[in-house]
Amino acid sequence: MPKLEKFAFWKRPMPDEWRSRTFWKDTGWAYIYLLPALIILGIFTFYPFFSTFRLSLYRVSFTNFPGTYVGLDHFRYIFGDRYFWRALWNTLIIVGTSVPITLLLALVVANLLNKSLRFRTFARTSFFLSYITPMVAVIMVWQLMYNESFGLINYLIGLIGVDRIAWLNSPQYALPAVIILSIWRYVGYQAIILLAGMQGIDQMYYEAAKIDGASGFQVWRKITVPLLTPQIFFLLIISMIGSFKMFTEVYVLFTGTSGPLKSAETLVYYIMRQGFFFTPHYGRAAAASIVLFAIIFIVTLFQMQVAKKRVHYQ
Amino acid sequence: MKLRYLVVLSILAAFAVGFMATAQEPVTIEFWHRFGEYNTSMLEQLATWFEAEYPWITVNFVYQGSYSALQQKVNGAVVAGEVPTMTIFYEDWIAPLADALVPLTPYFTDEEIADILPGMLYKDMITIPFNKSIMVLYYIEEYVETPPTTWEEFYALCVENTVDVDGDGNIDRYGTGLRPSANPEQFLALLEQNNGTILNEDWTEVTLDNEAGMEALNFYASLAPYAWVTSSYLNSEIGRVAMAIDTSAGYSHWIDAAEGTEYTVKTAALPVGEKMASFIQGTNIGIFKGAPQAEIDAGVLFLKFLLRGEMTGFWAATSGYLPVTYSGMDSAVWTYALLSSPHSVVSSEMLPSGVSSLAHPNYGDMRAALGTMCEEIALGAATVEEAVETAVDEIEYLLDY
Repeated sequence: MPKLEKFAFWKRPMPDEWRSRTFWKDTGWAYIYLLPALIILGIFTFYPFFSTFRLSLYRVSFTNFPGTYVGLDHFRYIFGDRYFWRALWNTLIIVGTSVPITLLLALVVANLLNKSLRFRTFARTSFFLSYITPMVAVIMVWQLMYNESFGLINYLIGLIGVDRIAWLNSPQYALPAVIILSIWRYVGYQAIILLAGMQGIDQMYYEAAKIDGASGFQVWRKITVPLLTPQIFFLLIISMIGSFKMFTEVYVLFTGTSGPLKSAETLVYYIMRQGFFFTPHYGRAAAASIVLFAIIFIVTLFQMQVAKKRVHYQ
Repeated sequence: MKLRYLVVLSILAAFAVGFMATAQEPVTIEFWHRFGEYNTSMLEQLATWFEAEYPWITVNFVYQGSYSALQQKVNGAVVAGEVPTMTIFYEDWIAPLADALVPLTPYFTDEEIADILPGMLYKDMITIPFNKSIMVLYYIEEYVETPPTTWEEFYALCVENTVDVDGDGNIDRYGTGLRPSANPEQFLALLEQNNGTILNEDWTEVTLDNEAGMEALNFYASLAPYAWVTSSYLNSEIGRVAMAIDTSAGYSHWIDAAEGTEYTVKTAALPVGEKMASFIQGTNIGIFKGAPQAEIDAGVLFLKFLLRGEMTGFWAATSGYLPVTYSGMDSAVWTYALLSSPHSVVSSEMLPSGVSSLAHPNYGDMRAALGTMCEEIALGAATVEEAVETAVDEIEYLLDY
């Protein structure tokens, strides 16, 4: 009971500023300024969120919306569905491989771009192009590059004696094909963000390290990377959430399917398949969305905790 | 004097009738579709003729994007109660929307219903067929001199045409192509040809794994080593397959793909199993109950108009789809079209043996289960027995869901 005392706000003395008329006027104005954003968030974020939760408890009928209340049946269904677990596993593989590999490559590229290379501006622009080119166009080009008989990738690996790979028609290679495409697409963007971070690092740290006789790698590991942690943290969150939500790459690369034997199916594709392909099951799709939300929420909370200890803002 | 009165009265009566006919309240029908520019212009031509006959009705065509987008918009419109008058949709979308659609039987005479090709009539007639195609056999003339007429001949040609042309150890050309998850209808045509069915007549039992079903599945599995298994369209790499079971609606895409290459694409009837049968695909049109009664009435008139022999014949001849009625098949415009298109002759001849999708409320999910089964077999991820057992379990679950 004594522990609960600190939550008993009604027992606390009224703060002095509450007696001030100006305080209430300023607070009122603050809320008025916030109102447009709150309305937009309410309509487009909070309402859909709670509505999704409600939908997950119903077997939706189009003609008698929302339909029949079924409790947690949809959660039971998806947890018993082999394709849900496959989609979750695939998503975790994508997050676990593409996020760290992209970040590592981006660090290397940013480091190179930070040096006084010839054609540096051209190189920077080229790396960013992959990000600013419309995604569907990029994926369609990759579809051609992955082609088993005339694709560029099979031609290149053929030069080193590797046999042709059915990238898009074989269950073993479908997911790696998605991961490679995703890494290629985001390396440039992440490199530019990291490059901006690198250029914001005060030169005096490098000069001090030079005087102390630190090697190039030591400087990179002890100065550059720690001072880039705000950017790295930002990119980690953004890319993890992006990877958890991966859909377009799969949908376009495999012409509307999720690869042979659903071997490249991601959680978002699973949600789309349940909700919008074949016979629509909005309830199941909503239940799977709630699970995806819970996963992203927990991962983000964990990242925030790590960030408190590891991210150096100055 | 009497005669004068009679003449005046007759003239007045004629005016009155004419006035009543033209004094109908103007009605606009909203028609959702996903046709491209050319087919939309053909639809508009049909609407122009219709509006000339029914001057108080205007048909407003609304393009709704891809088929997938159209399906989502239709579902959303029904939930929101903001429906168009009518829309096109695939048969496997219809069942969950059945309660929202106007049963059309009372509006049509027995004669009109009997005129619709039997394989195209949807259960309870809550929709009427519109842009329909049928599975035919595409073949590359340079590889296949004479198209196969039986399963045995088809299999033999598949084996013969699966070759490593450049000797690098990889197959460059396959006998046929399979799109198992995207197009399980390739298997369903074989199932039908072997007198097999997915369910028994009263939909209480799964019959996919009976003798006829297993024979069809084993034949499908026997094609797998000689088939390019893909989710892409089979004409996306012309020359990759020697023959393909594909929809007649894709003819222009096959021809476009072959243009400028060394290949000549032709079509033939499907090779026959126990009997000739093929699978009809394409969309139907339905009218929504939620539309105002005047729009429903006008919509029915438009449907009746579209089913007239000359109209369905015109639509088929110009759009590349098929007539949906006997009178359409006999129409002058379709008969003329057949003279210049051997491909249309093939499709037309196959039409009477066409079958449509099952009208079960969960057919969409059943089709997905069949697609997975076909894919597992085609890619060798499961034996025929394992794959069919999983599919049967899933379909049994769907029977009662």
